[in-house]
Amino acid sequence: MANNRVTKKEVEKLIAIPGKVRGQVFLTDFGYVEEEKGEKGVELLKKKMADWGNPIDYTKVKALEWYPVGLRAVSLLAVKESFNWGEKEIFDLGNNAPKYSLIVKMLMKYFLSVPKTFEQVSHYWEKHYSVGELEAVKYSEEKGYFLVHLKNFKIHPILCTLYAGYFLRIGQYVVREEMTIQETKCMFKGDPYHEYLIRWK
Amino acid sequence: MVKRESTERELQRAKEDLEDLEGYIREFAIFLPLAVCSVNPLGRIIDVNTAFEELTGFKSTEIVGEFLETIFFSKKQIKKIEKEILKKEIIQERELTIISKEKRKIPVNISISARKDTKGNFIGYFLGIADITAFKRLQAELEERVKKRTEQLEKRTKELEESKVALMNMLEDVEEARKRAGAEKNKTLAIISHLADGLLVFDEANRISLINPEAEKLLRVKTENIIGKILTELTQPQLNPLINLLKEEGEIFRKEVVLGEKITVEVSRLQMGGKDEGFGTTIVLHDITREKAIERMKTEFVSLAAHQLRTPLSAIKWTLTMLLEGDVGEISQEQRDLLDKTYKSNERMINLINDLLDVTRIEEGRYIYQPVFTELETVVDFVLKSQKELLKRKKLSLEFKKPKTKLPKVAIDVERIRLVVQNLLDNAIHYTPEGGKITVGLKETEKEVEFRIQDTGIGIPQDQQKRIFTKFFRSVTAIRLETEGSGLGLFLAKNIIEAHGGKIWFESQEGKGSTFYFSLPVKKQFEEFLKEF
Repeated sequence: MANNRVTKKEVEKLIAIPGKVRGQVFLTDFGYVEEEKGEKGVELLKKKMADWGNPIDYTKVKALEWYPVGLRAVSLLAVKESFNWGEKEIFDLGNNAPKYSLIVKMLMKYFLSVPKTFEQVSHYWEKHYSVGELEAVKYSEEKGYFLVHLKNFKIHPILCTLYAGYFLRIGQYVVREEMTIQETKCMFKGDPYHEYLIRWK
Repeated sequence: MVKRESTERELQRAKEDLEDLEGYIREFAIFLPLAVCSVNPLGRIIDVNTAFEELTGFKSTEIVGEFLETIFFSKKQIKKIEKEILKKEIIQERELTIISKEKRKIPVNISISARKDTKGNFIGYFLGIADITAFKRLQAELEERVKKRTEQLEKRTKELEESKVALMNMLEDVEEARKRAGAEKNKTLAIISHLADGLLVFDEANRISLINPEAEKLLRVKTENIIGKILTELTQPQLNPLINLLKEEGEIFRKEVVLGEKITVEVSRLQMGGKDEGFGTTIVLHDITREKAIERMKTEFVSLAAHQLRTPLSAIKWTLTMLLEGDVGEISQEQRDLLDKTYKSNERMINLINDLLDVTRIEEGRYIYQPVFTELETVVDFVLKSQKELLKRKKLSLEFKKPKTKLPKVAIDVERIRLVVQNLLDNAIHYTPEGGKITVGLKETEKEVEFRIQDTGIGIPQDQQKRIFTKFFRSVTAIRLETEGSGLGLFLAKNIIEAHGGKIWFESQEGKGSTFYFSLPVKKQFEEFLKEF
């Protein structure tokens, strides 16, 4: 699917998926593109959106407004196709997204330490999405790992890569050491939920 | 249903407020000139404002998520401050250095304010960064200026210290010189005090500044009565002759002054420090009272002896005359020759005695002049004619160069001036070998009549010319010729000419001849002439 062009119909299908997402996520994508690709990049992205009937107008998006959750995938797919990005670039976008997010800045008080983050991670998800649940399953500061499950959230596989980058950044905010993340289970691969394992030395 | 709608409206309003607040924060962050960043408890930067981006050169996306220490030059210092903020709520004005994206060091002042949640838990901090580059530059410039000024001051101080040392050395030298000068002065004063001559020192204002004991004795004055006074303030009558002499301008050298009846001194005046930069005068009084007494006694003796000798010599002269004229009988030729020689010797003796008597009269001040207003030419002509026979015998030619115009008359004692011309002519005849030439001339100068007699004789040696006018002087060349002469002729001539207010001098070259001159002042008015006699 990554190599295939997304059609307008597919976009409409995605938009039809039930659930909401905060407008902040689109602003994050837009800001990142603006930063990385400049004005021309922004124009390319807008054109892509126009091709799909302008499901997202980045200039009018409000950070705290709720939008159809499928648009989260649509926005990413538009970026991906506009610049022919692969998984790495999408991962990086996810990794940088918290830097742009007002919500992240506001919620930083919940990520003071690994235990605190463990407690607050579900709450954090709810601030962004009206569907799906993010659960901290277990962690060990001694062994250096953190395991989270994302349940009931099957929008598009591109989001798996995005969240890997995103969760890694959240982890980096609370752990000084070098970290890695791996999606160990995926609903698109037949698993009942998405599972991410964050490790540090 | 209504309640649900109301809740949704409130939620909507809350969202709008939140968005407004977000917009406000964003605008504020953009406007805020102070670089600010928000840091989480782990030390990661989670937000920065525009000023921060401008100051560090890092874009928000580049620096957010990085550890704060990334931008600080001293990681150790910022970590220490991070630990400190856990205990304090606010840290103000800490001077650090940040490293910009372009690796430029920027001096900054940081202030930190801790963030806490509602339960008081530490949730990170805000960090304000003020660029103090300009301030540091100013401070550096100020320090540089202070440093330079300090260096200048140190240099100046050093120079002053060196000057002080130099001055101290100079002062020591001056003190040393002062001591030496003091010692020298004492020595000089001791010499002056014990000097056999009297000494009077006049300062630049012509006030007497020093008088030595000998001068006190000679002048019969007390130091305290005359020190600080000028000449005209001195009232002691015995000083009058000296005062009169010192009023004269020009050089004074060994001028005789009689101070009262018993004391005669020779006075000399010395200009101290030269003529142009004079800082006073010194008067030396050399007591010649004793010498004068001896000289007087000698003169008296010579006078007495001469008178005593002249009487028998006159008797001899008359006896010889009678014998030569045959008054006492016929004499043979041989006897005549002997008597003739004796007569001439007797004549020379009488002349010598007469000269001696003239000298003694001059020295005793008894040489009486009887001046008349007459022409010098007549006197000279008379003497020249009287010597014609002698000139002929010696085969000498004589030329008298008379002036083309008539000379003015002069006031002279004819006999004395005739004696002068006679003496000068005698010398020319005696000291000019046979065949020589004698030239006599007269001329008028501005205020004088000048006489000149030139010969082609033996001349006077250079080393003896200074003594030519002294008594009994005869040059070695004259003695060698074994000519007649008493050595008194020029002495008498000089005294006679000077007594007439004239001058006498000569030019001579050994082996080539001599020229003697005298000049006599012209008295244009007879009344003027009479006034002097």
